[in-house]
Amino acid sequence: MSRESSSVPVLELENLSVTYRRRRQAPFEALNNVHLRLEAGETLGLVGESGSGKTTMGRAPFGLVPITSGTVRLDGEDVTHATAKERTRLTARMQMVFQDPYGSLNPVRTIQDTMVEPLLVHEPGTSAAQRAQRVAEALDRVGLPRRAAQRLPREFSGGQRQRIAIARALMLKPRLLVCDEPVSALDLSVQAQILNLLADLRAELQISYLFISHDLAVVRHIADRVMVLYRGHVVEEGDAAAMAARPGHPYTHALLSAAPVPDPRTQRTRRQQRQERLTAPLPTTTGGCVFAPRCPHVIDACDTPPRLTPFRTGGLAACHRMEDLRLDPPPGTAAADHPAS
Amino acid sequence: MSAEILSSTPDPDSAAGQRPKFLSKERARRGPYRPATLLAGAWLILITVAAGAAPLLAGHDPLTQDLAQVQVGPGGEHLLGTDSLGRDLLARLLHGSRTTLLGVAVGVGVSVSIGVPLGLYAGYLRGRVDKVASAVAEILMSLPGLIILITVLAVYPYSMIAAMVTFGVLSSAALFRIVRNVTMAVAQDLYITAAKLAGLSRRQILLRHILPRIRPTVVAQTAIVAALALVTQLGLGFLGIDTRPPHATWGGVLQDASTVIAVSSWTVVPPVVVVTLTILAFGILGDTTTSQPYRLTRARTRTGRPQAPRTTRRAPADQLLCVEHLTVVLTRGGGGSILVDDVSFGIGRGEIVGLVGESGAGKSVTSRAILGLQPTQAKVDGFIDFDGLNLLDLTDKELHHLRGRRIALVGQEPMVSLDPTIRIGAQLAEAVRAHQKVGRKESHRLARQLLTDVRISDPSAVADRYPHEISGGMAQRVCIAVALAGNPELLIADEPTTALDVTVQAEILDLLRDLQRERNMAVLLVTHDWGVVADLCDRAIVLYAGQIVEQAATERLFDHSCHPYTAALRAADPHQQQPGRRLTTIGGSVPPPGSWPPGCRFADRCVSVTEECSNAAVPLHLVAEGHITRCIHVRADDKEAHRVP
Repeated sequence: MSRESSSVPVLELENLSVTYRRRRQAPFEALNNVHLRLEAGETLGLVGESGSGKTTMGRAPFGLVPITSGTVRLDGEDVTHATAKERTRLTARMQMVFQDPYGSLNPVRTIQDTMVEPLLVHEPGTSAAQRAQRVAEALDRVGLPRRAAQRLPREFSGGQRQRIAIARALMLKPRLLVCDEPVSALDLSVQAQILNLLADLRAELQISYLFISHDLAVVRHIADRVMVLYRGHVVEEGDAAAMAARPGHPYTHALLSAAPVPDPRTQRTRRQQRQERLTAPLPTTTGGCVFAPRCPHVIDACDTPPRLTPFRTGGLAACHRMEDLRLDPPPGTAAADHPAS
Repeated sequence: MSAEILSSTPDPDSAAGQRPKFLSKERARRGPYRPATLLAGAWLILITVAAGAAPLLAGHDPLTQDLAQVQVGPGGEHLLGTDSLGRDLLARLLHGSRTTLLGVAVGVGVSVSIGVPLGLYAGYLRGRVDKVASAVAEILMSLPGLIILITVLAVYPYSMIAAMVTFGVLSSAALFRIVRNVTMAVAQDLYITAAKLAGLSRRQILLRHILPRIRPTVVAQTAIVAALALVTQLGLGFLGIDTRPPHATWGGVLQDASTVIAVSSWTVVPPVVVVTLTILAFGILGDTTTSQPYRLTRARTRTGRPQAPRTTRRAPADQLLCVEHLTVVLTRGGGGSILVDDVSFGIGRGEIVGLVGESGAGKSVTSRAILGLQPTQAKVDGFIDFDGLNLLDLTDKELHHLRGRRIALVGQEPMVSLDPTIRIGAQLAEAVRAHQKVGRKESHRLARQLLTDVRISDPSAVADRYPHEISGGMAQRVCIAVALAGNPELLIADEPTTALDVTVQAEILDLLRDLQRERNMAVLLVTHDWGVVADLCDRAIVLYAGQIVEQAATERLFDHSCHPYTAALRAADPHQQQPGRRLTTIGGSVPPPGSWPPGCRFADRCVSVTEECSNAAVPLHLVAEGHITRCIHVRADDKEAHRVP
């Protein structure tokens, strides 16, 4: 496990809490005291459903969310309260790819116009010819023809636009790339292409990825380590393969069971098992385990919040019953090359 | 980059194959170069040049009176005749346009240079700048403009510049408001966040991203300001306070003509024509850019029905829906691109059929054609029998009656389908009343019952909420409840779970299965997700490039995928692949409509391709009972059928 490594991590979130204040409504705590350490060249998957805080976590390094307490460090440098000017400088070192490939490119500007922007900011001395050359190289890198530069976003398919978004994010060769659901809006067949591309780029450029997705099955293809979030709390963290083989937290197990597998018979079994476990949601308790209202294994001890503690597979989980539950992965969960436990 | 990525990269040229043609057509019809625009532009240039060259063109002095020739008609020595003091009308209009057009330019210039930058900043930055600027704009808009102009002219007598600067300041308030509002909307777009993360400064974002995006609105509003400036000047001229007599302005000429209109009606014609044409020209130029299609999504509306008479045929009795030879052709731009090509399938009562394929395969177009919803300017042919009715022969009114009542639709984005300003309960009650003759109270009771039917545990509480107060999964349940309001026999679900979390997706799939059982409702499920097919569908139809390539019962399809495309599509699904290895993908991309090869459409991406594949169109043929495929390499009950490893 890379946690013990003494090198300076690319990204470190320490005791981070984020609260959104809303008009005429109670404040919403999106992240509650989370820790994250992302080593150089590592890929960390952030998994959870909407409202789990995974997108908030991905946006925290960029100063796009209201941090109430905690620290954000980029290459050891504290950037929690960076000024607008410092943020501009930091954009050379971290970049983001968004979920919606249709919304993240300005529809009235050519690909070239959009892609040269990081250069205009960070390398203002470059000539127009040099900039065009850099755009062409970036397009090569993501497997798009160079003539794509002169076109408008609407001439491209979703998968091609996502390639463009990745190329733009990599113009300045950042150390950290936050991918916020980069394949969720794409056809399954195209998802595989983009995941392969991200894997190739990681090998080529030595980037660290923070890969956010609601789909654990997709995350497992790209992430070394996975962090499962539920309502702003980290409920499980550990090696991707080990987690699929032996989930420590009932919520991780629920995520694994929920995704339908492309095999009618296995899926029927999975469905039956899942429905047997379904419980009517109980009223939300305050102070106890956040997952307790939905958990089929709830006991009295769940009234006190569990701590994130080491689990037998080598990962961490926040569940009072993680050792005695023995949650088996649902049938049809694709086995990894080296099954754990 | 690896060779595989390169080879799997779709070519933007082919992906955009249709677009440039369509775009150029679009441009010709409504772009900057349509004839009306050219004429409007030419007219404005003409009057501007004429104003500049007035002394050369006029031929007469605009101030010289010839009391022997008052109010003479056009022709002769005075081309446009003379006014009540015998002054040459053409000369007065030409000289007058100098003052008038300068006035318009000053008014527009002041208005735009205040309204646009302030609107951009206030809309983008919000906060205090916005509050102060908006308050000032509101005050300016509440002031009586004409009275202020008259006051200004009292202080600066006959100073048209002073009047038009005042006009510019006053009218900038409206321009500010509009620019601010569109900027606020555009500032929410994701690419603005992306630009921020690229490190762009505030000014760069405003100039590079927001201004080009809102340009059509700015141009249209500027044109309105220009027209208003002209009208305002005419008003001032009519009052005789815009310029020191006897100097000419358009307003002055019009005022002079109007005093003698009872004696000679001709004098009023030239100024009125000139003014009308100018205002019209402003309007046309303003409209030019607004009508450019910068839409992120396509609007789908129904247009003409196919004309060809069809023979009425009856489908087999156990079939609820029978689609035969369904073809949808895009007529827009004269292209004649085929979107759906000769698709035939049936759905039995209570059956769940999956329509599977990648984006651009034609699954949504097919499913919407059943509802009589086609892309704009598309021609639909074939035969859609729904319980004895040929849907393609129905009138709009009959179709409207059928939609929602017997065939309902659930879409991909539940939040978009719900009206954000109406409470859930009221929306649902409205849907109930649209389909059943019940009173208000009863409709609300039925609405709550529907919410219970879609397994919402606290229907009364949810009924009182607004759409933004519920989660995406809950919203999809509400959309399903709306679809159920008419007790449909067929539910068309277009990617109903794609936008949802996996845990919520599982619940919605369970709900659809339960509803199908309880109500014996048939479901046509459009999806790209094999997991969803495996979970829910009795039978699946695989579409590729507008054609059915394979159809079989779900288990049969998963056990014996015959068509190489089905096999490839299943193999490329990341969910069933082993982590830690390079993911299998399909090389290339779906060819866009219009560039389909004459032979097998999957040939250039197929791993089993041979020379014969491209020779001729491949027909569908029966492999086994209920299992058809479109591949020349697959024979009936072929033991060598493609199987997913």
